[in-house]
Amino acid sequence: MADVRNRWFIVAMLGAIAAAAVVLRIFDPATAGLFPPCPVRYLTGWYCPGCGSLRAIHQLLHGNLQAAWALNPLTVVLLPFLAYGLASHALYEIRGRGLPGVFLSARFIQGLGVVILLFGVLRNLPLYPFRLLAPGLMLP
Amino acid sequence: MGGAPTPLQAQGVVIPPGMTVPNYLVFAILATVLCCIPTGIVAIVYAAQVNGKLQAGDIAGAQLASKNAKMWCWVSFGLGLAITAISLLLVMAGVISGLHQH
Repeated sequence: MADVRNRWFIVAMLGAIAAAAVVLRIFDPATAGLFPPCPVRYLTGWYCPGCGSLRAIHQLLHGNLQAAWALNPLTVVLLPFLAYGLASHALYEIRGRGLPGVFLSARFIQGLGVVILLFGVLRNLPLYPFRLLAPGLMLP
Repeated sequence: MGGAPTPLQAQGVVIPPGMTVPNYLVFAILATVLCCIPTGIVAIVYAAQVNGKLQAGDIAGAQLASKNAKMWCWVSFGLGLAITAISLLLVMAGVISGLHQH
Protein backbone atom coordinates (compact mmCIF):
# COMPACT_ATOMS: atom_id res chain seq x y z
CA MET A 1 0.00 0.00 0.00
CA ALA A 2 2.66 2.53 0.94
CA ASP A 3 4.79 3.04 -2.14
CA VAL A 4 8.39 4.21 -2.15
CA ARG A 5 7.57 7.70 -3.41
CA ASN A 6 5.28 8.34 -0.45
CA ARG A 7 7.93 7.04 1.92
CA TRP A 8 10.49 9.53 0.62
CA PHE A 9 7.91 12.28 0.92
CA ILE A 10 7.38 11.36 4.58
CA VAL A 11 11.14 11.22 5.27
CA ALA A 12 11.56 14.64 3.63
CA MET A 13 8.60 16.04 5.59
CA LEU A 14 9.85 14.75 8.96
CA GLY A 15 13.35 16.06 8.17
CA ALA A 16 11.93 19.48 7.29
CA ILE A 17 9.86 19.58 10.51
CA ALA A 18 12.89 18.60 12.64
CA ALA A 19 15.08 21.23 10.95
CA ALA A 20 12.36 23.87 11.36
CA ALA A 21 12.02 23.01 15.06
CA VAL A 22 15.78 23.41 15.63
CA VAL A 23 15.87 26.75 13.76
CA LEU A 24 12.75 27.98 15.59
CA ARG A 25 14.17 26.97 18.96
CA ILE A 26 17.41 28.92 18.33
CA PHE A 27 16.08 32.01 16.53
CA ASP A 28 13.15 34.15 17.64
CA PRO A 29 11.15 35.16 14.53
CA ALA A 30 10.13 38.34 16.40
CA THR A 31 13.69 39.68 16.35
CA ALA A 32 15.89 37.51 14.12
CA GLY A 33 14.80 38.95 10.75
CA LEU A 34 15.72 35.58 9.32
CA PHE A 35 12.18 34.49 8.49
CA PRO A 36 10.16 35.91 5.60
CA PRO A 37 7.27 38.13 6.70
CA CYS A 38 3.77 36.74 6.29
CA PRO A 39 2.82 37.68 2.69
CA VAL A 40 -0.75 38.48 3.73
CA ARG A 41 0.46 40.86 6.44
CA TYR A 42 3.13 42.35 4.17
CA LEU A 43 0.93 42.88 1.12
CA THR A 44 -2.40 43.83 2.74
CA GLY A 45 -1.56 44.92 6.29
CA TRP A 46 -4.08 42.40 7.68
CA TYR A 47 -3.33 39.54 10.02
CA CYS A 48 -4.00 36.09 8.58
CA PRO A 49 -5.08 33.13 10.80
CA GLY A 50 -1.45 31.97 10.84
CA CYS A 51 0.16 35.31 11.73
CA GLY A 52 2.26 34.92 14.88
CA SER A 53 2.38 31.12 14.61
CA LEU A 54 6.16 30.93 14.08
CA ARG A 55 6.73 33.26 17.05
CA ALA A 56 4.23 31.19 19.04
CA ILE A 57 6.06 27.94 18.21
CA HIS A 58 9.36 29.59 19.21
CA GLN A 59 7.81 30.45 22.60
CA LEU A 60 6.36 26.93 22.95
CA LEU A 61 9.80 25.43 22.28
CA HIS A 62 11.04 27.52 25.22
CA GLY A 63 8.14 26.45 27.44
CA ASN A 64 6.38 29.84 27.49
CA LEU A 65 2.78 28.78 27.03
CA GLN A 66 1.36 32.19 27.96
CA ALA A 67 3.49 34.07 25.42
CA ALA A 68 2.65 31.49 22.75
CA TRP A 69 -1.07 31.84 23.51
CA ALA A 70 -0.86 35.63 23.19
CA LEU A 71 0.87 35.38 19.81
CA ASN A 72 -1.53 32.89 18.22
CA PRO A 73 -4.07 31.00 20.35
CA LEU A 74 -5.32 29.02 17.34
CA THR A 75 -1.83 27.58 16.79
CA VAL A 76 -1.54 26.56 20.45
CA VAL A 77 -4.92 24.79 20.31
CA LEU A 78 -4.42 23.07 16.93
CA LEU A 79 -0.73 22.14 17.21
CA PRO A 80 -1.12 18.98 19.35
CA PHE A 81 -3.82 17.64 17.01
CA LEU A 82 -1.84 18.52 13.89
CA ALA A 83 1.28 16.85 15.35
CA TYR A 84 -0.73 13.72 16.17
CA GLY A 85 -2.28 13.70 12.70
CA LEU A 86 1.10 14.12 11.00
CA ALA A 87 2.59 11.34 13.15
CA SER A 88 -0.37 9.14 12.22
CA HIS A 89 0.13 9.93 8.53
CA ALA A 90 3.85 9.16 8.75
CA LEU A 91 3.20 5.83 10.51
CA TYR A 92 0.54 4.99 7.92
CA GLU A 93 3.04 5.46 5.09
CA ILE A 94 5.74 3.50 6.91
CA ARG A 95 3.83 0.52 8.30
CA GLY A 96 0.44 0.79 6.59
CA ARG A 97 -1.42 1.61 9.80
CA GLY A 98 -1.84 5.00 11.47
CA LEU A 99 -2.52 5.91 15.09
CA PRO A 100 -5.97 5.39 16.58
CA GLY A 101 -8.22 8.27 15.57
CA VAL A 102 -11.80 9.40 15.83
CA PHE A 103 -14.03 9.69 12.79
CA LEU A 104 -14.83 13.38 12.37
CA SER A 105 -18.20 14.17 10.86
CA ALA A 106 -18.33 16.32 7.72
CA ARG A 107 -20.11 19.02 9.76
CA PHE A 108 -17.29 19.08 12.32
CA ILE A 109 -14.64 19.54 9.62
CA GLN A 110 -16.66 22.31 7.97
CA GLY A 111 -17.03 23.96 11.39
CA LEU A 112 -13.26 23.80 11.81
CA GLY A 113 -12.82 25.64 8.51
CA VAL A 114 -15.30 28.31 9.63
CA VAL A 115 -13.48 28.72 12.98
CA ILE A 116 -10.16 29.26 11.18
CA LEU A 117 -11.68 31.86 8.84
CA LEU A 118 -13.55 33.57 11.69
CA PHE A 119 -10.36 33.74 13.76
CA GLY A 120 -8.63 35.42 10.80
CA VAL A 121 -11.40 38.01 10.52
CA LEU A 122 -11.92 38.71 14.24
CA ARG A 123 -8.25 39.33 15.04
CA ASN A 124 -8.30 42.22 12.56
CA LEU A 125 -11.26 43.98 14.17
CA PRO A 126 -10.28 47.08 16.17
CA LEU A 127 -12.94 46.28 18.81
CA TYR A 128 -11.99 45.47 22.39
CA PRO A 129 -12.34 41.75 22.99
CA PHE A 130 -11.47 40.79 19.41
CA ARG A 131 -8.37 42.93 18.99
CA LEU A 132 -6.72 40.88 21.77
CA LEU A 133 -6.51 38.07 19.16
CA ALA A 134 -3.96 40.05 17.14
CA PRO A 135 -0.40 38.74 17.68
CA GLY A 136 1.04 39.74 21.04
CA LEU A 137 -1.76 42.01 22.29
CA MET A 138 -2.69 39.77 25.22
CA LEU A 139 0.75 40.29 26.76
CA PRO A 140 0.99 42.97 29.47
CA MET B 1 -8.56 15.66 14.73
CA GLY B 2 -7.89 12.13 13.61
CA GLY B 3 -4.94 10.75 11.73
CA ALA B 4 -5.31 11.55 8.09
CA PRO B 5 -6.20 8.07 6.84
CA THR B 6 -9.77 8.10 8.06
CA PRO B 7 -10.80 4.94 9.89
CA LEU B 8 -13.82 3.48 8.17
CA GLN B 9 -16.64 3.29 10.67
CA ALA B 10 -19.52 4.39 8.51
CA GLN B 11 -22.71 2.95 9.86
CA GLY B 12 -24.44 0.19 7.98
CA VAL B 13 -21.93 0.16 5.15
CA VAL B 14 -19.86 -2.84 4.17
CA ILE B 15 -16.33 -1.66 3.58
CA PRO B 16 -13.46 -3.95 2.59
CA PRO B 17 -11.28 -4.50 5.69
CA GLY B 18 -7.96 -2.66 5.68
CA MET B 19 -9.24 -0.08 3.20
CA THR B 20 -8.86 3.57 4.09
CA VAL B 21 -9.80 6.80 2.36
CA PRO B 22 -7.44 9.57 3.55
CA ASN B 23 -9.05 12.99 3.90
CA TYR B 24 -5.74 14.93 4.20
CA LEU B 25 -7.35 17.18 6.82
CA VAL B 26 -4.05 17.83 8.61
CA PHE B 27 -2.42 19.00 5.38
CA ALA B 28 -5.51 21.01 4.42
CA ILE B 29 -5.38 22.92 7.73
CA LEU B 30 -1.63 23.50 7.40
CA ALA B 31 -2.16 24.66 3.81
CA THR B 32 -4.88 27.11 4.92
CA VAL B 33 -2.91 28.62 7.76
CA LEU B 34 0.59 28.55 6.26
CA CYS B 35 0.17 28.70 2.48
CA CYS B 36 -2.90 30.12 0.87
CA ILE B 37 -6.21 30.69 2.64
CA PRO B 38 -8.74 30.41 -0.26
CA THR B 39 -7.32 27.23 -1.81
CA GLY B 40 -6.63 25.74 1.64
CA ILE B 41 -10.30 26.22 2.50
CA VAL B 42 -11.21 24.33 -0.69
CA ALA B 43 -9.01 21.47 0.55
CA ILE B 44 -10.79 21.52 3.95
CA VAL B 45 -14.18 21.43 2.19
CA TYR B 46 -13.06 18.36 0.21
CA ALA B 47 -11.70 16.78 3.43
CA ALA B 48 -15.16 17.25 4.96
CA GLN B 49 -16.68 15.75 1.81
CA VAL B 50 -14.52 12.61 2.17
CA ASN B 51 -15.94 11.91 5.62
CA GLY B 52 -19.45 12.97 4.61
CA LYS B 53 -19.47 10.55 1.67
CA LEU B 54 -18.04 7.78 3.86
CA GLN B 55 -20.85 8.38 6.35
CA ALA B 56 -23.30 8.07 3.48
CA GLY B 57 -21.62 4.87 2.25
CA ASP B 58 -20.45 6.43 -1.03
CA ILE B 59 -16.93 5.00 -1.25
CA ALA B 60 -16.27 6.02 -4.86
CA GLY B 61 -17.39 9.56 -4.04
CA ALA B 62 -15.16 9.61 -0.96
CA GLN B 63 -12.17 8.50 -3.05
CA LEU B 64 -12.82 11.26 -5.58
CA ALA B 65 -13.11 13.87 -2.81
CA SER B 66 -9.89 12.48 -1.30
CA LYS B 67 -8.09 13.00 -4.61
CA ASN B 68 -9.40 16.56 -4.81
CA ALA B 69 -8.40 17.30 -1.21
CA LYS B 70 -4.86 16.13 -1.94
CA MET B 71 -4.69 18.15 -5.16
CA TRP B 72 -5.84 21.38 -3.48
CA CYS B 73 -3.27 20.87 -0.70
CA TRP B 74 -0.55 20.80 -3.36
CA VAL B 75 -2.07 23.79 -5.20
CA SER B 76 -2.03 25.72 -1.90
CA PHE B 77 1.56 24.69 -1.23
CA GLY B 78 2.68 25.82 -4.70
CA LEU B 79 0.78 29.12 -4.48
CA GLY B 80 2.11 29.71 -0.96
CA LEU B 81 5.68 29.20 -2.17
CA ALA B 82 5.12 31.50 -5.17
CA ILE B 83 3.49 34.25 -3.09
CA THR B 84 6.22 34.04 -0.43
CA ALA B 85 8.90 34.28 -3.15
CA ILE B 86 7.20 37.31 -4.73
CA SER B 87 6.75 39.10 -1.41
CA LEU B 88 10.38 38.33 -0.50
CA LEU B 89 11.41 39.95 -3.79
CA LEU B 90 9.26 42.97 -2.89
CA VAL B 91 10.88 43.14 0.56
CA MET B 92 14.32 43.09 -1.04
CA ALA B 93 13.28 45.70 -3.60
CA GLY B 94 11.93 47.81 -0.73
CA VAL B 95 15.21 47.47 1.15
CA ILE B 96 17.17 48.47 -1.94
CA SER B 97 14.99 51.50 -2.77
CA GLY B 98 15.21 52.45 0.92
CA LEU B 99 19.00 52.45 0.67
CA HIS B 100 18.89 54.74 -2.36
CA GLN B 101 16.94 57.41 -0.50
CA HIS B 102 20.00 58.38 1.55
